Amino acid sequence: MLSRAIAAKTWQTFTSTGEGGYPEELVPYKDHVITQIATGLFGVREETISRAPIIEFKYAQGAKPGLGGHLLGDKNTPAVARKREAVPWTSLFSPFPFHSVYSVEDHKKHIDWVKTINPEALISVKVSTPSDVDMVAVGSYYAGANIINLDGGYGGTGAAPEIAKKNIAMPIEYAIPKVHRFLIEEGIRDEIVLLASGGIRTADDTAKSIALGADGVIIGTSELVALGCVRCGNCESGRGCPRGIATTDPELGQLIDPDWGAQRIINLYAAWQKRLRLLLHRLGLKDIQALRGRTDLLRYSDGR
Amino acid sequence: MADRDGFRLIESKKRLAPPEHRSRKHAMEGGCGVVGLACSEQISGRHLMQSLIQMHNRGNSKGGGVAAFGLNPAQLGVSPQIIEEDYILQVAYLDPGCREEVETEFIFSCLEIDEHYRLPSLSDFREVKGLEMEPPEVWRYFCRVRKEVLDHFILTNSLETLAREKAEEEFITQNTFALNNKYYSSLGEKRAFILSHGRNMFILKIVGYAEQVIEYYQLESLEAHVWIGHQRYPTKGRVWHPGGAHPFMGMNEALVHNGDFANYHSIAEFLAQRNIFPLFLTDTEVSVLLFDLFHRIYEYPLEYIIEALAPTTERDFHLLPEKKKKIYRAIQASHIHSSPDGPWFFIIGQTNTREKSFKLLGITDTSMLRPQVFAFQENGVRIGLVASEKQAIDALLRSLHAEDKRFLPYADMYWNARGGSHTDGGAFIFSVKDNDLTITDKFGRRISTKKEHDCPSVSLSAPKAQDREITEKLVEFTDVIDSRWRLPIKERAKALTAAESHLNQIFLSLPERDRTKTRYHYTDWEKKDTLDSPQSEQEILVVNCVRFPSEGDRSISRFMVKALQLGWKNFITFNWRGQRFCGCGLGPGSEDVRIDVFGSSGDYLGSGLDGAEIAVHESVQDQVAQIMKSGKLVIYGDAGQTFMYGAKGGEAYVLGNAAGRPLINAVGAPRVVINGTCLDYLAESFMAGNPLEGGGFVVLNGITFNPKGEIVELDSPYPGGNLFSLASGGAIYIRDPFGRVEEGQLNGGRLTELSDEDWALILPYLKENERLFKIPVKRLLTANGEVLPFEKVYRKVEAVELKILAGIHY
Repeated sequence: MLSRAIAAKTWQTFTSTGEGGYPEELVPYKDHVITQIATGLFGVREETISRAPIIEFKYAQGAKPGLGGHLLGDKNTPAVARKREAVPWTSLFSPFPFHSVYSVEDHKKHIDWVKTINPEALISVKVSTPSDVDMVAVGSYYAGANIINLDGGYGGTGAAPEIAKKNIAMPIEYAIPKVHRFLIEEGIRDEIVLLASGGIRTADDTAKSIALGADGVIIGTSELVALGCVRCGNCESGRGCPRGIATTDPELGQLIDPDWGAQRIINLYAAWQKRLRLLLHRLGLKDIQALRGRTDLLRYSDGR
Repeated sequence: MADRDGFRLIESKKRLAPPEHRSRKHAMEGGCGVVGLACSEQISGRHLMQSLIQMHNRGNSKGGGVAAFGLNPAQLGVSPQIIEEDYILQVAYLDPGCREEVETEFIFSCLEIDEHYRLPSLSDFREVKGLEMEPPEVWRYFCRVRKEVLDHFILTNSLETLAREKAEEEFITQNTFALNNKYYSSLGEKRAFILSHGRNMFILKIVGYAEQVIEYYQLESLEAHVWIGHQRYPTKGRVWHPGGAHPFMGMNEALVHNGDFANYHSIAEFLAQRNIFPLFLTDTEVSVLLFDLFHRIYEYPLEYIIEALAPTTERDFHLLPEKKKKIYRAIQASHIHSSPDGPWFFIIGQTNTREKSFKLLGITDTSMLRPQVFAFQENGVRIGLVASEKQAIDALLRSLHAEDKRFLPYADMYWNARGGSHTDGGAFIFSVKDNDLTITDKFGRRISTKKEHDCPSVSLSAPKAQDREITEKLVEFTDVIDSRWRLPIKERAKALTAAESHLNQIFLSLPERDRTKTRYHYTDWEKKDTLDSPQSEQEILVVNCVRFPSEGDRSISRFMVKALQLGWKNFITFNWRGQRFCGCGLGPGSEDVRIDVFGSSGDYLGSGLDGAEIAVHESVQDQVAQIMKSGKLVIYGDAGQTFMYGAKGGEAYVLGNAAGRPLINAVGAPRVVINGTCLDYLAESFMAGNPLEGGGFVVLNGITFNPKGEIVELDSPYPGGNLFSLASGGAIYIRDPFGRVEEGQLNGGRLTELSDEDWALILPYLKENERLFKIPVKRLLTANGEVLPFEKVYRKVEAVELKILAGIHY
């Protein structure tokens, strides 16, 4: 977590707290930390909202659309329970909807509420990719959102039921152009930032997302891999992570040194930057923004 | 109706061609604001305007509309007989040039017109501030179906066994469908459409805000017994067609809707099987088509219509009498595909020709996911109201009160419907007949509004000028407001109105006073920019909230944050007009802040409270005290939906009831006393540790004040079927001396006895509850006249270890 924050600061970008709350250790990096308000409202206080430059409403995530966040019992250590102010060793499920948001005008109220507490912050809305995701994006814009984050189904997850993974909602390759074009039709494409996430693994994936219509991407698993993740899939259990990354166990958490980790992630970004520059050069483009929406530069290969 | 009559009516629709665009995508309704009123006397349209204006933030100006029922024939230029017997066809000509051909084909050819004219309107639509799209020209036709045309219709469709009126109604609906289909295909050219065709009613709607309908068509003085209004917030598109706005018409009904359907296609298929096709490509339309089918063609009693739309489920179903279970089961099986699925709240206005009455219905979906408030007032005139927000109701009453002192700015009673329940069925109906108004629930049970014996009116002396006496007067009048529940029901609104008026007078007289001689410093919208720091920490900022916008940088809530930054710690805020976010943004470390709230506050009050103390001298609305971390909240009234959702600490006291999902997902250590009850889902997913070790809890007393003002038990301290669902921590201390709460109502908790420690834990809170609300602990411990030990009165609902929460591996 600290590694990601240090890297974000170094590269002048952002990292997100996720839905569990805003740990004190991240406060020194607060200008680069996005705080997330998820449906369980864990760790959300006026204090945490006030210090963030970007506030993200997590309505859903691509790995398990229609379900809330899951933190299984054996990761809910006393330290975690204290942060979330819950009962240790019980599983913490966030509900699937915000109970206060069942309609678009509720969503607008929700955004207005956060803006009352922190008028300067940008508002980001993280959604998965249902078939009407384009209308969701437009509705969000009119409700006051600045960023829309489409989370596709290829994303990693700490814990999700097998049946949900990759079986629900639209692939991100469809969702990005759909939203991009709809926003253009509405005449508001440049009023809102479209970010894609869920399985962005390489610089090429980044370029493809942008070519499909996104303004940028959000990565998750890639950073973990930079820290040494071997993708064994044991994230949800308390002591299952062999590299001490996806763990809340106090002992295993010691395996990663924040500075070493930060450098690894910094290197990752640097490598991607190099690759993206090469791609742009080859495509004859001077700026990554010029790549946006250039589906003509994409070729569909059906696996052969 | 004879057997098979309904079937024959459905068959008769076959001659109509379904619209071409059946398979096209429909627009999604999203949010909205809805309001309705029914009154024993006729009410002018201008009174609806303020409540519509105050619900602007529930709409986005892409659609608004109103409907009126029980009209004044003289105002419409016709005789009383015509109003009673004729159908009022209102046609919107978006292309005035097509009127002649429309009239030739669909109006003069088959209808006998007793009177027709163009509706008055402003000469230039731009006179209406903010109205961007010119509303259509509307013509009104008072008509009956021509005798020979109707005879032919009856003959061709074998409708001889029907009452002639029924055949005539069917003809009218089919004629309307044909006209709308031809002249208003939603994706092609929109040239004309029929807004409404019912008796003694009309609908008007535009692309704009609902109050602009009243302004543009000059309805300010138009009188009606029942009005409904709607502010629309569709989620797609820039330019919208007025046909997509609400209200939508049935035969003699108009429906407005707040919410969303997930199964539009299923319902559309169900209707298609009965030769009924929606034309306006918005999901709301199918709901009124369903209502019309059930009411007019199948002739279901209202109770069954409501059951078909919002079925009774779970524990509520089990508590129904056997006979009802049987028939409800049959209704549910028949209507599983035609029951709208999704959050919804309907307000329906209707001219009921069978009963010769005008009705206003409010129906909520079984899960109660949309806000709804009902209200009633009687002070020489009987008026019933229903809306998405209480403050919209208050705004309407305030508008009436300004012109006619028989109306008070607050209702006698406010309540919520419990969706799909065996108690009220999730619906309430106001019926106006022969200048009287009655209220019934879904089951036809009359809601008593009986006023108790006369009691001397509360007399309040006029305020005097000195500062010391100002404080005394404030305390006195505030106390009247806070204790109004102790009065007979008919006196409460009067006392509140009088006390509030006196308080306002005091507050408004403050600017004339010498600043150095008083602790009270007045400010309002005009003076807000000149606010400077207080001279001492004891100074009190008195803020007149009227005119402040509801949200945004210049809102009243941001103003209070700025005042706090200037050093103000004590606030008295009054004249709230539904603005939101009161007390938000104060941040942590606000322990020495104290805010008093008078008036109709809006949603999200105190959400995020972290240290301050807020006393609200009225009911609050929805999403109050969410994520509250610390501090104290006292509510001299009821609370709305998702009260303290995700709360983490602090103390709260509610004099009345909370609505749906209070304290859901709460953690940490909130300590709450609710004196009334809740709709359902109290403390779902509560995670607040062990109350005996510093965790959180809710005390639920299940009492209310009877019409005389005495404390009485509710029928049950908790009527719902989902108490403490999936909770892993915290506890509920429920006052249940008669053992009415059962295990079956829990969803993963268990009922136990209180220990001495439990009692020692909650007693200080009950004592504070006594001090604030004058509800004696002794009275709480009394049942059937006998004072009992605490363990015989209170029961504890505590968490058990649940398999589902105990850490499963996928």
